[in-house]
Amino acid sequence: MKMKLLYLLVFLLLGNSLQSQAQMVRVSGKVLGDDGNALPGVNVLLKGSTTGTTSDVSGTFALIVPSANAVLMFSFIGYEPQEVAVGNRTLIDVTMISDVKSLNEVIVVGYGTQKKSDLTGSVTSISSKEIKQVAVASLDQALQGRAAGVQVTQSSAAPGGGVSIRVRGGNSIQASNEPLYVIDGIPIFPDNGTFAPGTSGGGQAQNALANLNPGDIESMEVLKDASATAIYGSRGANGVVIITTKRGKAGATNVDIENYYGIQSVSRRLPLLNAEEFATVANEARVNRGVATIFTPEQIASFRNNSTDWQDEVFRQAPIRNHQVTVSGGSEGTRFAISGNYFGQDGVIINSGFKRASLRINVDKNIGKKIVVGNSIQIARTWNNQQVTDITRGGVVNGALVFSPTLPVFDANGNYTFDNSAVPGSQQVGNPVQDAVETLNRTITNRVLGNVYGEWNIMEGLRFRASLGIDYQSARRDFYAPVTNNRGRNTFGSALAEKKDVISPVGTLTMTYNKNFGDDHQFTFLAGYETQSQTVDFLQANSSNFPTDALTSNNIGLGQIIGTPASGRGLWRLDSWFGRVNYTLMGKFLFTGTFRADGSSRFGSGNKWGYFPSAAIGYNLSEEQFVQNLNLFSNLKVTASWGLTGNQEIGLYQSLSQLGTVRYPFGEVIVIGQAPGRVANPNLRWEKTNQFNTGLEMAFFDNRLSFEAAYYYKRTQDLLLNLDLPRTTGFSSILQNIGSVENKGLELAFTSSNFVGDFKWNTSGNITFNRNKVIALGPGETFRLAPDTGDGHLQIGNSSILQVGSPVGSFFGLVTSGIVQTGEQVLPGSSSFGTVGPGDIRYVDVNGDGQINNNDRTIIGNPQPKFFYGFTNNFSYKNFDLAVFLQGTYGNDVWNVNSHELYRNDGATNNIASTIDRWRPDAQSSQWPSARTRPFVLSDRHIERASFLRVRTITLGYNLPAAKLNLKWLRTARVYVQGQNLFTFTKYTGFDPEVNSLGQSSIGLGIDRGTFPMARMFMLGLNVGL
Amino acid sequence: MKTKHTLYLIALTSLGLFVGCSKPLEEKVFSFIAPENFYRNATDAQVALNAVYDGIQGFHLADRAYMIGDMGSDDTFTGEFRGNQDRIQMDEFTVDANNGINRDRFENTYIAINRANAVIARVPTINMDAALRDNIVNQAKFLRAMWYFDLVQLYGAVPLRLDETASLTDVGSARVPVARIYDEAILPDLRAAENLPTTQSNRGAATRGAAKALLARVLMTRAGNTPGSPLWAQARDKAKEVMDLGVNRLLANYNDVFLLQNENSAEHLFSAQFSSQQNEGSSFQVFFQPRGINGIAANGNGVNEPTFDIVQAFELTDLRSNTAFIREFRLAAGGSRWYAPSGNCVGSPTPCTPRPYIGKYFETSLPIGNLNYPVIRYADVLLIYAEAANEASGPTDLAYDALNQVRRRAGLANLPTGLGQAQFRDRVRAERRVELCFEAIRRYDLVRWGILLETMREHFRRFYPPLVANVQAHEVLMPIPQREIDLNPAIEQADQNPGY
Repeated sequence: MKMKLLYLLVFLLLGNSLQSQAQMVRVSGKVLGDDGNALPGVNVLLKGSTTGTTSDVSGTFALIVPSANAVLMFSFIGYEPQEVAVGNRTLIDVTMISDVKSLNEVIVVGYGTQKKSDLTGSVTSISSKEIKQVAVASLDQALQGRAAGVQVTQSSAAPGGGVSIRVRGGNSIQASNEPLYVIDGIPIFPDNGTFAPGTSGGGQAQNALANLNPGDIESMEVLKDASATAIYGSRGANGVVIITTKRGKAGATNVDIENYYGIQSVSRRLPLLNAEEFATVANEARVNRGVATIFTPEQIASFRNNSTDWQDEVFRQAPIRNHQVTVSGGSEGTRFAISGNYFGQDGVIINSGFKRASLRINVDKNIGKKIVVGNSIQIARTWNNQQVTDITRGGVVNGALVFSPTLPVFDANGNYTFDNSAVPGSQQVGNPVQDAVETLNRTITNRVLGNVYGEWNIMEGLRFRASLGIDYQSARRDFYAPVTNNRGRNTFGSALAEKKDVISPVGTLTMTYNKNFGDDHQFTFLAGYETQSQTVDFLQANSSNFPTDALTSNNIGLGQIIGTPASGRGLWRLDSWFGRVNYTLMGKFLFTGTFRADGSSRFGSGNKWGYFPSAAIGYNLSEEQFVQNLNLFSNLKVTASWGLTGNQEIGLYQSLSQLGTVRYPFGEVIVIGQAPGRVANPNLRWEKTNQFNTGLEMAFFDNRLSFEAAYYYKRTQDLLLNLDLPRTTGFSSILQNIGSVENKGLELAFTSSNFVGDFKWNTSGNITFNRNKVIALGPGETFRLAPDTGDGHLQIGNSSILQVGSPVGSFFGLVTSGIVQTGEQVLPGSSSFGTVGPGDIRYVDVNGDGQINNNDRTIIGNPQPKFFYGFTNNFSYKNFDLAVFLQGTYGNDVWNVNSHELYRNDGATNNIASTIDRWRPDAQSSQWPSARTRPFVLSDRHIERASFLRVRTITLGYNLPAAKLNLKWLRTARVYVQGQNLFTFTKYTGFDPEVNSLGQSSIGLGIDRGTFPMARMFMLGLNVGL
Repeated sequence: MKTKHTLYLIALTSLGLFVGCSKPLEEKVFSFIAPENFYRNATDAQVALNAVYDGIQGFHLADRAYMIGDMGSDDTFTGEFRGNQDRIQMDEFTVDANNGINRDRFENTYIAINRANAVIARVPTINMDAALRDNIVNQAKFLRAMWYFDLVQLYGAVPLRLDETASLTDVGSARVPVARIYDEAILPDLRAAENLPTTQSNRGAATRGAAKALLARVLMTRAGNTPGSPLWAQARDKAKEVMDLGVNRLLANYNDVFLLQNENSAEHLFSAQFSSQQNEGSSFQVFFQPRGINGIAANGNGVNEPTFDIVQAFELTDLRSNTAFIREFRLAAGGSRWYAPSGNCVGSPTPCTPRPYIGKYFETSLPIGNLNYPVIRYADVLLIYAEAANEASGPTDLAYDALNQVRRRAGLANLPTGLGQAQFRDRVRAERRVELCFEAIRRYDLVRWGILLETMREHFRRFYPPLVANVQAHEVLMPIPQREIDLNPAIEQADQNPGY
């Protein structure tokens, strides 16, 4: 009913067009850059209207304006905008002044826009140019290294794989720490698990934003402090990323064709033992155990030229391609931008890849002088062939590392070597090539993201806007493991099909009022109401025991064992009121106050509503005469803000008591049971984050050099955290509001135009120092062992700890000090960690009680970096340009989970090549233990420094001087070559230090377990503008 | 101007309608049931009971009962492919308080007990047929007694929770003495369960016979290795009550007992039920079968292998040996692999592997996973009778008869008559070991007889000398899981079983 009324409203707005008449004058002219060259593509807009055009290849423009009082506004990215009064001229030539970072730049903020100079909050803006500098599958990756305070981790390098983002550190322990995305006004919380139809047996979920085309983005703004985010209330605590897509401008119709094609390969392979070395170790381990050897000397000799490099077998060179056509333009009354995109990325592991096809239509229509209606809509479909990777047992990457090199991919008859059990004592692993090729693990998604809006300028300064948006995704996942490979052998073929629909309508009404009282008092008021809900429906069927592998999940009924089908539905709703006041006093004192009231269905009956205020002040010192007299600063501003934001990402229905469905077979008759599942907690409420922020902006030499600095302090209380219960209660835990986490940090960013003129050199960079620590856990609780986040099969037990005073995700284990040498006694208790004598690992008695046991575990690593940074240099000379983008982290640790098996040294799994220098009585190593089976123990041997500096991209481009060549039909043409991930400087010994097998997890950070490896990429691009 | 007013009106109306919705923030539940809307009729009562039964399938409970009951004894070990640290600890007698098998057993047992507590508390308040109501409540009591009985045998004193956990303000519960657990939970529950019907419409549900048989085992366990305990006579008489019910008997053929078509037969008083459908299947047989072999119905994991010790415990002509161990393993690709449990392939068809594998549980056609795991069989009842009668008053004729019934079915001669009490004791113990092998009973028997430590030391001395020193006096009891000690405010580190 509500929806219908809104449609009616839009219809009426459309129907009420009011036309106007005036005296028309034609003006024309030429736009030049400060280097004297013609500047094509400059936006020319009649002030106070939407009438406009763009300059053509020769820099000329022509526009019909209503009267001599008209003012023309010229704007172009990288130049300072200008306003020129037409007067009685008909010929107007303009020289644009290049500008590194314009202070009059308009920044998108929550439910509106603001001039950058008027901002009191902490907001980083990323332009489409920066976004396009790196070829990425999903838009969140484009944030990497671009914004201070924003840490982007590609948790899986699989095409379409997961990305995890922390804005100013993780506030939460258990609720999600991902930021909120607002795409053309539609809030989207990017929980991969919500959008993915399923991941069972497969590894990390597909990136929830991968079905949105990054090529359509005009700008991205990251809202960081509470002054900026509190207007998003209960979803603002983790930061907000506002994404605006390209819209048409009045003027000539532009056609932009963008293409790139590249080749990717695994950027680093791990050096492993060859077959001969492996067999020698396996034999030695058996001798050390006192049992018969496996391989005869003749066999070992035969391995010399007969070793299988499983990484060679599963990795490949893989193409990546992107094709986009954008047509934009329009008339005075109607502006449009439409685009079509195809993106295809094959994975560097065989039989994996991601494809996306998308369309976008953005239209704005003026109806008379006062009303604008429009829409933005994207329709996309993705196909994702995923490989089984990460923590899932039997993953391809893990298989390629541990599988015995003594066995070939195919046996003498041309059949796959089924698994490595032909090597006695080996860890049972399926042939990774066969597993990769024969397993189906495909997700197809269809997504519609769009809105319609109407805007009504009721009177001078007063504007009403209504918009209705929808985010709809329909996805299906198919999984089939055939009886022929190791994954399907125990189930004799197993199939799974999962379908998920996610639909989220959102309606927003806002009223904005600008009012100046005299020259000194400028006010902007915003008031609004928003309602959003999200319904998730899923349906799943599975079966196993297939008489044939021919039909896979396309005919689940063929399985003789019918698995339990599953379906479910969840719904949440959020109703919100919000407001903002901006007050500028004398052009230099800035005040911002915001407020949001959020009512969420997710919380306990007594705590549905939460209230989130913020306040900020700013002082534009550069407006003061005494600062101007210094003749030093072209901009100087200080700001301070405080605000309260929330987090509601705890999943649904957590406050309600619940019975769980279980089954039991009486004979072969299966009956349903309802078992106590959760105890009610009507007091459940928001996580609250108090954030204090203070900022400093400085610019020198007419803004050629600018600095920004911000210090922030965030304290999150009432954490939504499970209180672990003694299991004798019959329950494992209950979600409560307990505990507190602190983040504080410093962000620095700068931009500099080192050279201007023919040779240009711009440098920009940012660096963030964040310190995260747990302030409190449950009542009286000083630490909590987090569950094993590595791989249950390794039997590590607890791998990380939450400890008051330490960062979230700290790794917890034993400390080692080399290898026990001959004649040395081992401490009592060591044997339970596999240390009985010389050649074994020496553990440190941390608590000094004279024995080695679990009480000697301590914090042995921190997955959170001391700082992270991005650094960009752009050079151009005439038509050539070169961009070098570096990015990295420092001081973070990664738990190299793969190394537990790769350091094993007993022939059960293959090993890292350097373990060949293992301890022997006659060659006593202090690094590698003797060949012998030992239990897997989490110690500092497996925690590695994962600081890295990555040359993320180097791009060399050439812009065809279309104007000089007098090619009328051609507006722009650019050809470029790019290398991605060219070099990564790190001491980390795994595939890549940027990794997290647990994806978006808030506790499990920096974990490397069989994750899809990072690729290096070389590509060629061609962009043509017509 | 009229248009403008219309616009105002529409703007305001739409605003109002956006907001106007009654209780929009009440969470709408679609896919689960809240307890407040449940426990209302007979169907709910049965559904709640079904969930108690499901507790039997808790991880590391019935489907992996052997990981403590057999692997933690001299009967099986964790095989050639020993990767799993928890199983190695069980096998090698180095279990610590963080052992996952031990932790799961403890925790999942209590989760099941809480379900039973819910039924026992809530079902009596439902207005329904009284007989059905009592039947349901008594089944829940049977299961609760079974679980507490397991807990006291493994851990000694444990927390006693008899009420459903409804609020989480008071979560601590201290270990209470073993005697209290017996007196307040196990014995009263089983005495109530003795009122169950002799047969149930749900196959595999607890019956009067199951309750009496379990009670007999409880009484025998309570008697411990105390000669002359009056409990021996009680155990004997309780076993006799099962024998006199006339419902249960031995199947004619030992091998038939473990065939899929004979599940819940007259010999099975109580079994953990499994079905291959709807993810309700069992996995133990897959864990028992040899690894790396593509069989016609299963591809084994080979992680629970018999020791040569148990192989040698069988008398040479014992027919049960052919059921207990795999001789022939038929391959998916056609043909067979052969196994020589004795460790000697001489005389065996080829290819032959000279190792024992458990053959007691073997489905020969797809889909597999249907096999139940036995909890109490009639043969056990007979042996309880024989043992209890002997301990109560020496080897009576009826004690001989009970034991000989078991032996005769195995193709063995009757026991020689005229054995003394101690001789008969040795024979009944030997009989229990082979008759009930791989049914997760051996460790409990060794503990009950007070000979776990000496038996394990002797076993390791014969078959794997380096492990002899591992066997420590404290290992008669399992450790309370460290997580429980950490979380339960009423259990301190000092309350841990000594030695852990």
